[in-house]
Formats: sequence, structure tokens, C-alpha cells
Amino acid sequence: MAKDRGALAVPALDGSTSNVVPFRVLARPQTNPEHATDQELIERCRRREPEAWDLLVNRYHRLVYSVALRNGLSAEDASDATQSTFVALIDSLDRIRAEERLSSWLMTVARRQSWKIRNRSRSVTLLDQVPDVAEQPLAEWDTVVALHAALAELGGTCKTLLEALYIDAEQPSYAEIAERLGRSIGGIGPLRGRCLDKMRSILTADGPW
Amino acid sequence: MNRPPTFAELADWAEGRLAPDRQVAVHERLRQDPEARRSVEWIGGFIEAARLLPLVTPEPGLVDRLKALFDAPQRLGGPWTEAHLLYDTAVFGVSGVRFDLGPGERHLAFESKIGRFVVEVITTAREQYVDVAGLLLLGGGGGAEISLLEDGVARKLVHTDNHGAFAIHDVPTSVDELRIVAGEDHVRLRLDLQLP
Repeated sequence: MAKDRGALAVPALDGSTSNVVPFRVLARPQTNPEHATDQELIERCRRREPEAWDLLVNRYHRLVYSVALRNGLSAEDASDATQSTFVALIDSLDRIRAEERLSSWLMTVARRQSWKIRNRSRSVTLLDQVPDVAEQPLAEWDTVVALHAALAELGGTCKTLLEALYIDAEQPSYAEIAERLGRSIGGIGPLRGRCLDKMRSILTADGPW
Repeated sequence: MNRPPTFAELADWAEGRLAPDRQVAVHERLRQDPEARRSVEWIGGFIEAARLLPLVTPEPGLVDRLKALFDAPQRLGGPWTEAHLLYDTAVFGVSGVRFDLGPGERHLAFESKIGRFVVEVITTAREQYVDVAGLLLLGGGGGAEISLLEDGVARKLVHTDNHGAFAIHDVPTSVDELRIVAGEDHVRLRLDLQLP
């Protein structure tokens, strides 16, 4: 299901270019600061508001860390790659364009940092430190990037719910998810249906998902 | 009555969670309605794609370190003053200085505008990784922020304790710079972490 959703070519650290799915601003009610769009948080970070940075870290640290793990790093090295990725984000705050999707940008940088760390230590990595996960083929990578870009656009409670139901490695129960969202267990199913429907609208808006 | 299934019911169907009293009706609808079948196929594809990258929660301290990066003075630039190497046990010994170290340890001392300080490089179980420890004797009290960089990119960030000591574990030997921010003072030095 790999899809090209109008990817933009952006310069990489090494001078080459890579594709980043463009960011689309989606109007959402701003009653909860955690539901602010990525672009709003980036603009607040440019004004040096630490609360906005904390929200970005909360929103994306697991994604960046998981990309590093998925690219063959140990937990320790994945933490380093995550830190380097967020340092790169700080250094790039003034250069990230409004049309870029932050999730895609972070995943691209995290993968690049992971390759750099992995290649440095490939010859000395002990067998018990190698995650038993193979590197993803490029087609799957594009699918994952598109999916997380759509989740970021979805935002809010729906993003939290779909991540908890289908992406969270800890696979929380319906009861745990309901408690996390402050809803009844019986309300999770219908909400999930509505959230999936919204995801489908986003993912099929520009491509054949 | 065979009302059209909702998207939530189709999701339940795809996941095997559909209530028994709706299973026959939804099954019949899927048999007749190609759009409903496409919806179920899409849901199945989404779930399959979502499972390609499970989101893993890192150790708790990482989030705090990531948040601290934003306020790290290192990100705000200098002006930086250079620290100068006084001695390096890998190169030569100095009177009064313990330099009879084993092959897995190295001491370096530096002179800087914030005073003299020592950095110890200690071998670890992992090749091409070392532990780095140090002691700053800051006249004005208060802690300092220590960061290690590789090619200008921060790899590790710690604070000294109340006595000016710091320890950073599992540092790649490719790290080549150490920066110290103590109050208004910004000091940096080139670092060689290779052990003899």
C-alpha cells in the first residue's frame, strides 16, 4: 500500500535529497493545547516557548525512537539517534517549511541518524544487542511514513485512539484505552469507527490508499 | 431489518468483534455491496500497515533529556572560549600526577577560563565505546552543563552534581568535542577518546 502523496524533495544533511510528504494544515478546534497542529507548535518553538517543545517531544519521541529501533539499533543507540534527531529539529526550526509534514521530516532524519550510528558500530555490535527485526523494504517505509503523516493530520483523540489500538507495542486493553481517554469502554468501538473513517478520508484524499 | 452497517460495524467485522446479532446482516450486506467490501479491505490494509512500525516507549529518562535540549545553552551558541590541554596520560606524565594507568584508562587535564578540570576516559565492555567522567572546580558554585558532540551534533548531555562531578556512560569514541556551560561561561575543547 505504499503511496506517493505528493512528496517534496528536500535537501538532506549530506547534500542529497529525500522525499518528505508535504504538511497540510488542518483546521481543528484549539480547546486542548495537546491538539495544536504541528505547524502551530513549530511556530511557538520559534518564539522559544518551552511548553510547545515539550508537546512536540511528547507527540513524537516514541515515533522517532521506534524508527531507530526498526533500523537495527540497540536501545542505547536508539536513544542517541532520538536525541540527535531532536537536536537536528531544534537546529532546523527556522528552516522547516509550512508545507512539510513534521512526522515525515522526523522519520527521515531519524532513519539517517540510525544509519550513521549503525554503520559506525556494525563491525563491533555484539549479537545480543542486535534487535531481531529486519530493516524494512523501501516500499513499506513509504507506507509507514504516509500512515504517520496522516495520523499527525488526524490529530487529537482520534490519533491517540488509533495509535493505542493498532500501533502501540504494549497493546493496551480497551479498558486501559478508555481510562486514558476518559470514556466508557462501550464508547471506544463507535469512536474507533469514526476515527478510521476520518483516516480513510485523509489517506485517500490524494492517492489510491 | 438489514440496515446498512456503520463503519464501526465494518471495523468490528474486520477484527472479529461484531456483535452476534448483527453478524448475519452484515455478512449479507458484504456479499451484496462492493463498497462495503472495499471498506473492510481498507480497514484490513490499514491495520496491517499500522503494525509495520509498533511504537515503543523508551526508558523514562530520555523524554526529560529531549525536553532539556530546548533550553540547553549549547543550542544558543557562544561565544565559546577554548580550553587548553595541560597533560594527557596517553602522551606523557607530569610530576605529581597519577599517570601509571592501565591500557583501559586515560586522564586529560585542561586549563580554561573557568579553571582547571580533569576528564577521565575509561574503557567499557563495548568496543569503540568509553565512559567519560570529570570534575569541574567552579569557583562560584552552582552546576554546569556538559555536552558531548560528534561532528557538531550533540550526542550526550548531562549536568554536573553539586560537587562539580559528571559521568557519561557508553560514549562513542567518534565523539570529538566537549562543551561546558557554567553560568555565562561557554568553554569547549577538542576531545580524543581513543584509548592507548
